[in-house]
Amino acid sequence: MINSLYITEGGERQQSMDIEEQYDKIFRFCYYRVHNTDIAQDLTQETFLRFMNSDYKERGEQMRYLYTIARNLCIDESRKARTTDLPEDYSDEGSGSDDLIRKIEVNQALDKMPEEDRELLILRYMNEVPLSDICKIMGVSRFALYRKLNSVKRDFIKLMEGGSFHE
Amino acid sequence: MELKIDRITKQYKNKIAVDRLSFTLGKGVTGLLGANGAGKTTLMRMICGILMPTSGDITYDGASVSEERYRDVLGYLPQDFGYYPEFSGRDFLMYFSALKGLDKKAARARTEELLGVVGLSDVAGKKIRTYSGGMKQRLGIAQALINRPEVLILDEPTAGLDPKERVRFRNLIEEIGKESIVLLSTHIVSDIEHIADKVIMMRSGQIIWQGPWGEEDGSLEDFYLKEFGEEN
Amino acid sequence: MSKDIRKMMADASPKPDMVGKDAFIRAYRKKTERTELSVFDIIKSQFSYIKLPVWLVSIAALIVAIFGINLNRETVFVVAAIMPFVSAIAVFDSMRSRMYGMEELEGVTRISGRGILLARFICIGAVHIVLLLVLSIVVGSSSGYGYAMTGAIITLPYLISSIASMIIERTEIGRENAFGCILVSVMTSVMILAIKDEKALFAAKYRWIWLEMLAVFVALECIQIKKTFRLEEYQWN
Repeated sequence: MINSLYITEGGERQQSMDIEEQYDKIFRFCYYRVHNTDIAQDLTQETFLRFMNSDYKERGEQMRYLYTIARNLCIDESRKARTTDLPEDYSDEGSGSDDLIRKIEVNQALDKMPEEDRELLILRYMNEVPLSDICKIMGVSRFALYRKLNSVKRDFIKLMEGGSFHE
Repeated sequence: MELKIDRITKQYKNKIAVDRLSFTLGKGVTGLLGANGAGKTTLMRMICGILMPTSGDITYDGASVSEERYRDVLGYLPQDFGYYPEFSGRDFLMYFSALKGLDKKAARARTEELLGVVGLSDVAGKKIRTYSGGMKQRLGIAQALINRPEVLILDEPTAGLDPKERVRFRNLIEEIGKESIVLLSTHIVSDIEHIADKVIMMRSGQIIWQGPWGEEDGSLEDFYLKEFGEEN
Repeated sequence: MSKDIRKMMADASPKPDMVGKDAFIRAYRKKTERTELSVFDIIKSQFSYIKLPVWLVSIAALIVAIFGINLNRETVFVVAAIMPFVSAIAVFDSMRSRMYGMEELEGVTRISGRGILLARFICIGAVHIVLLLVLSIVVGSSSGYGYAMTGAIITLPYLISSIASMIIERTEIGRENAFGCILVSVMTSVMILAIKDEKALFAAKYRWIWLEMLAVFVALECIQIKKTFRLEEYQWN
């Protein structure tokens, strides 16, 4: 987008991350930490505002920076209020019932996973963040990430099968 | 957020299509009611800056409608529109995303999002000429929303939609009206009865009635029929 | 399996409230740097949408010129007879918004109808100027007329047909179909082939007439381009 180009002090034209592309991804990321769409939306917007107002915009580091801001905001939020920690009702959309059941199953399986594993699944499979960026966001080596991803994926599938998936 | 229409007139050789109209629109849905030939389309084209008024001014927050600044916040669905024959639904939205200044990545994200909003995700790769009238109309609505417009002008948007699509469309417009100026023309009262915050009625280029319309004001349909008794 | 998980998870993820998202992204864009669209941005947006036949005819002309290098005089006229099609197709493609009912939708975008037309003209025009120069050099080297005269013989039919096509495309009937442009191209092409054996016309002493005609038609072309743009400004008056 034209307006996602900004000029650094050196006058160099750089491509920044694009809000159209990242908004929903950051929203999901926040949602699975706070389990509330309104709070997740607020945190998403706060993330972008902080990102915009910072001058930390090195090329290749933007993803990491964006997710780090989001994660910190989510952690602050969950410290603030643990009372609203009830998972949301997922049945708000009136799509076909099979889809709906699947949706609930996926979300229930995700809810059962440890925080860090869930975050990894969301980054990799929901948001399709490149592996190199995930390494930076999670602060792990590529090798460790591969191993971790495989085991987390296995856990997730097992949880899904524990539901009515693949009967 | 204020769209100001100040004494605009459009005169063709022997006919005055729009006759010294003035009104101001703010956030919310405004329904423009009138029979065919009342001047609704002419008025809307002028508001979109693609037809020059014979006299009068149209400004949005101080910007003239001929400026890029205004077109950047404008969304428009004309009464009738075409498409390049080689386009699929997705191509169509990608094309207009580019024209509205979105780069490739943003365009792709926004296109997929909108295809979902109007329920065309499954047929996005198919050529538009294989679409039904309702599907094409939904594509047109998606097109108008690409740039998240502050001013949304819809000329007979429900034409060709089936009853189910109409309901979905009404809900969508009601949502959008919360944060945008929406002007919607129609000759079907029920399209706007429950979602319009304000109603403007036009006949032969003039406003014959305008004002807010709420549930407590009774049936808009009855009022409209009374006003337009001799035509309907 | 990864693909399944991806799809499953994407479908399951919650969506943010649309209105809140709209309002925020709008405000965010206003705060981040806003630049007016540059001519370059506009051109980039249109380049990939120019239809293939426009480029194919240009390439055809070039191929004929290259293979005809040894055929001396005849090549000039064969190439000259192709040029009307090169320009008519370009004009037709540039002005196709109306024919397909896209003009209103394109007119309300940031780029605007004029911007789109400008972009298409610049894209195609730049390529064509290079094409005409290359053709003049390639064909001119063995035509026996010299580069300038060869250039004039090739360029004149190009200009004649493009001027006529623009006039036709601006009319109500002309934009209904491609027939007008085809007719103009065929007529110009036939005219060239008809006069090619009138050797007197191409004699050295009359060459200044050809060059002067070239200058006149370049001027006419500019006038027509200007008129076409003016039409785009307030289309429905």
